[in-house]
Amino acid sequence: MNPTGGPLRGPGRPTRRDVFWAFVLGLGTFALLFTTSGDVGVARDEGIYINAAEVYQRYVTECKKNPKLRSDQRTIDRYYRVNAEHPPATKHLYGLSWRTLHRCNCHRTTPRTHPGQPPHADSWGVVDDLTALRLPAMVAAALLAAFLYLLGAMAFGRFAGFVAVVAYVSLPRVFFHSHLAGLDAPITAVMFLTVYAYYRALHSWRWSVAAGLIFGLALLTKFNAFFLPLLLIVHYGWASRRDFRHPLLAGVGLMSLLPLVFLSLAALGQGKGHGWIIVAGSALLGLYLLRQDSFRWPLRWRNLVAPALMAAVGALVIGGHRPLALGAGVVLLGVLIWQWRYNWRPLRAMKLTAPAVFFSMLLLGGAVFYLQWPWLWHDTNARFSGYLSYHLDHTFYNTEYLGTNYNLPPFPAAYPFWMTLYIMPLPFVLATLGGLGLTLRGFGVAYHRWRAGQVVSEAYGPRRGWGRPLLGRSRSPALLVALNALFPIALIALPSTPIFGGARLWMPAWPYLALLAGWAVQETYRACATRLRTGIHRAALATALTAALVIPSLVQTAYVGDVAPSAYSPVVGGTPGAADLGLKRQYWGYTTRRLLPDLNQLARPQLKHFTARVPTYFHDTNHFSRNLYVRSGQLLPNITYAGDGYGGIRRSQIAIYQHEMHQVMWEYLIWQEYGTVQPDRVLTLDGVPLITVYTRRGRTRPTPPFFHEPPGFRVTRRKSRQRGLVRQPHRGR
Amino acid sequence: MSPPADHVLIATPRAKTSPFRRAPRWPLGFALLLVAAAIWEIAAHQLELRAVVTRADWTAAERFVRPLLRPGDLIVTAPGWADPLGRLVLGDRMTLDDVTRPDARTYSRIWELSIRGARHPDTRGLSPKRRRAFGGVQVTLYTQTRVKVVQDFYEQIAKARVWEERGPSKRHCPWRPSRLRHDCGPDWKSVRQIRAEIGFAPRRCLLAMPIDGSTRVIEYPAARLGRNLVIWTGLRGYDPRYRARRAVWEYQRYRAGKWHKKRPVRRVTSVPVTLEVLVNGRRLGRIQHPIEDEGWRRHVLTVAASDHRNRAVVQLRIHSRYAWAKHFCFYARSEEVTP
Repeated sequence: MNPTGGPLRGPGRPTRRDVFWAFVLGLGTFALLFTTSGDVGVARDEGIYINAAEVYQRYVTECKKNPKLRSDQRTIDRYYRVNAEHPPATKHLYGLSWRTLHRCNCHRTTPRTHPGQPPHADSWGVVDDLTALRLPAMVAAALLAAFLYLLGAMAFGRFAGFVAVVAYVSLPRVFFHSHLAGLDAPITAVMFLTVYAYYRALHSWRWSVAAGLIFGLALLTKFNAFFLPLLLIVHYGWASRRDFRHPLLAGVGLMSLLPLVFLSLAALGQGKGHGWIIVAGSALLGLYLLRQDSFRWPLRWRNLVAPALMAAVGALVIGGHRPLALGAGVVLLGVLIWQWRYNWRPLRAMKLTAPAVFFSMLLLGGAVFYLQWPWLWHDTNARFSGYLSYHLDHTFYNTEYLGTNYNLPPFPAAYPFWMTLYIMPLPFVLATLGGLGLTLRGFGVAYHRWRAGQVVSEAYGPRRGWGRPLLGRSRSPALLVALNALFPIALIALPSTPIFGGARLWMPAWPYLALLAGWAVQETYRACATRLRTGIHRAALATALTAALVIPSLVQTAYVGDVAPSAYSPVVGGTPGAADLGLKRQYWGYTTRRLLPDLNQLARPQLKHFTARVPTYFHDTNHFSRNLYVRSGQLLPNITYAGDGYGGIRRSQIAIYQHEMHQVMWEYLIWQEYGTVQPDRVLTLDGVPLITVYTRRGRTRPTPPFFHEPPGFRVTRRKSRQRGLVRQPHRGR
Repeated sequence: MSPPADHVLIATPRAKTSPFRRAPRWPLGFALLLVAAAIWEIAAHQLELRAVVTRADWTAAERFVRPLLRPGDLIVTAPGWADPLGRLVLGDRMTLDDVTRPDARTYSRIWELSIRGARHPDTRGLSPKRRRAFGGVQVTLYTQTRVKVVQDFYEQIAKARVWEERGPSKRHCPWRPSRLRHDCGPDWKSVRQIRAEIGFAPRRCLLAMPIDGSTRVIEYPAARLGRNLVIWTGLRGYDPRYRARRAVWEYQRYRAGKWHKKRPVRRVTSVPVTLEVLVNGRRLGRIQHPIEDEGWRRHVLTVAASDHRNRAVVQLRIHSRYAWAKHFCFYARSEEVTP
């Protein structure tokens, strides 16, 4: 490790000792999450994914009985239509874990899990329902911790890897999300594993294969994975910078390639991608031409010809002259083939332009994505395009930020940056900034060397090749980490990107932020340790630095880990300070978990007979979540789900309202229906109300009533043969 | 220039060319910064926990206030997010009319329960008559000379005449006592009192949704006027507000060529709702409420001296060039200026 400029060459692979410590750290993380599983409430989306997981398991059960149904479209549609907006990998795993491990809690269950019916028969009965469902997410978090250490140890050093792991795992929101059977923690883990595999694949062709398979799993987990290759392409372009003839032209080529590839993929998803694909292809060709020895013309000619050809083909395509562009492309290709007659150097250069790992990610990843998602087996184009469109044109849900409810663009660009400061412990943020500083410095040093040094061809070393394109050369880990740390945040900072759900949207960046923090701490330690004489002093310094990073997070996690998205760091004045500023207090209805003892207590007097029911309006906690609380024995089964909306309030005996800015109307309707504005309980976090609970004291109908939109006000979609779908106010009643 | 031979690596000189190589001085400072930040973070967290207002403080405040409450007193809590805690202890002394008030100027005594040094917007400008702290809760009594309401147009809606003007034709909307509304056909067209969420707060107001190509007219034939006519306007409901703004946004994207969905977009522009006030046929004022404004806006119109304290015909005319999803709601009263 170079203390002044960052690592330029790391060891190629982790040692056995590293693997052992990674295993220990992963196991520790898993044990921590497993033992605290019941403490974290069931989030709204988690309930939906769990429902989908159970539905998908029915497909598995049905196909076991009758294998012919496996590819039957009606069977697939019946089960995989549920939650088809997200790929199924995690839901498959949640379902598999539940089917195999759950302990039947049948006397408390909903009709869906009646005893005796499959899949109860297959279960080993090891853990309760909720833990069984959440287990794969915890395993993913544990794997992430292990590989975080491995990457940190390889890229920066063991101490950096260790600090990164403990700093990451102790973050309150990581603790919270790692419990949920959701998508955020798993996609963070799988994307990280993909990056790890890619990093190893730069030195080993076996890892190229692994990277493809893991990337397929990432694609099968959440939409975020589609962005990952762009970052890896940029990283590879930089890491192989010495292969290019001219730094400036290489930079221009790389930067132009990135949006072109992205646009091509997006356009392909919409079914209009042919023109863009040609543009991207020509950009790739241009990039190739910029490499050493791709062409045997004099250097100055090549440097001019490559961008000129690239621009010409692109202009022809965009200008609508596709046949001409195609012709030009064919001529270019012909010239290249003619060049290859003389020697194999150009072909080698081409192999290093697009190494095996990218092909593996494209082909193996794509194959895994397709084969493991039965929803895509029929009507593939329409469904895949629908999947892309759903996420590229995502609905703008609400989020509260600085007292304003945002639900339409433009969203504030500073949002992810300030929120990161508000939710992360201050030492962690400072250490991350230190790591970014080191990266910038290392980048500056490397660029300076590149510019100042003579152009060198390393392309034909004896060991470099298509499967190990950077063997013997630096893999530029700092840039890889920094790109992955900054890109998710920058993506959310775009004014057009929806910001609902808050900080979890850039959760894939957090492990890399932790790595940067770990690196900064390690560099600080190394620089300071030289001045210390004894080992005890050095150990004390290392402990102090690690503790500075970890203890504030641990204190927060121990205190609010179960409702972490509602908590804020002391930088903003804690949760009360955040409430003063007008930051979002909650979403997803997970805080209900803290209220369950009170709910049970409130309902108990009304349960004079075991058949008695207390219909309860749960507001943002959906019936899937309520059922899971019952199944895990945390909520009395007699506390039933009264329903959604105003109907639910009217049928209920107890009503809870979870404070969210855009949902205040539901509390007013509770006032109206219950005839009081006085709650019976208020669940608070540091004195800030999270949930208000009302019990019915009679039926009232105050005059005038709170306005609840009747059917006559709703916007309905009516099909018109002449005009297509037209939205019109329904004028009935 | 011929390329260098294979396997030849030319080392780049480092020390002389790199401007970044200096003796590291930052590590010690950075280490101290990290440790100091950690200590500060833990200490600040503990201080925050100590500063949390307990249930006992709220109960003590309630025990102090309850015996001193008089009928007609208003209880408010500051900051706004602490409102459920105020209602938890004194909610039985708050009515729906209290919590949906347009403002607090009609109350002579206001009890404010505040934490963290906050001040309720309704008590701004008032001087405290009594103040006492119970732990973190500060109880303050404010008194004021309440405004004299000469005519409350909200309360008097039954006495108003309502019609819909479309060019020269008029369509009258008779008052239905059984349904407490001026009936104009479909439910959504009726003019009536409602309680609603406006600006993410509860309000009471008169719902009069504009109609495309028409003007809604609410006429008070013998209204008494004070010095000022005070009108609050707002758009009811988060959901319709969002729909109206969303439609504008979609059309803007369509115009910019960024709309790729098959569903056609509606041709809408950001058109406000207009409320014109006519007194004896003369225009007193014209108020516009834009759809981007999610709040509850107060407008004050000064009544001409000739109309002051006389009975007058007051017409409130509501229209919008594009009415879709604009649930316009307003509250109006005529008041004397307080000394």
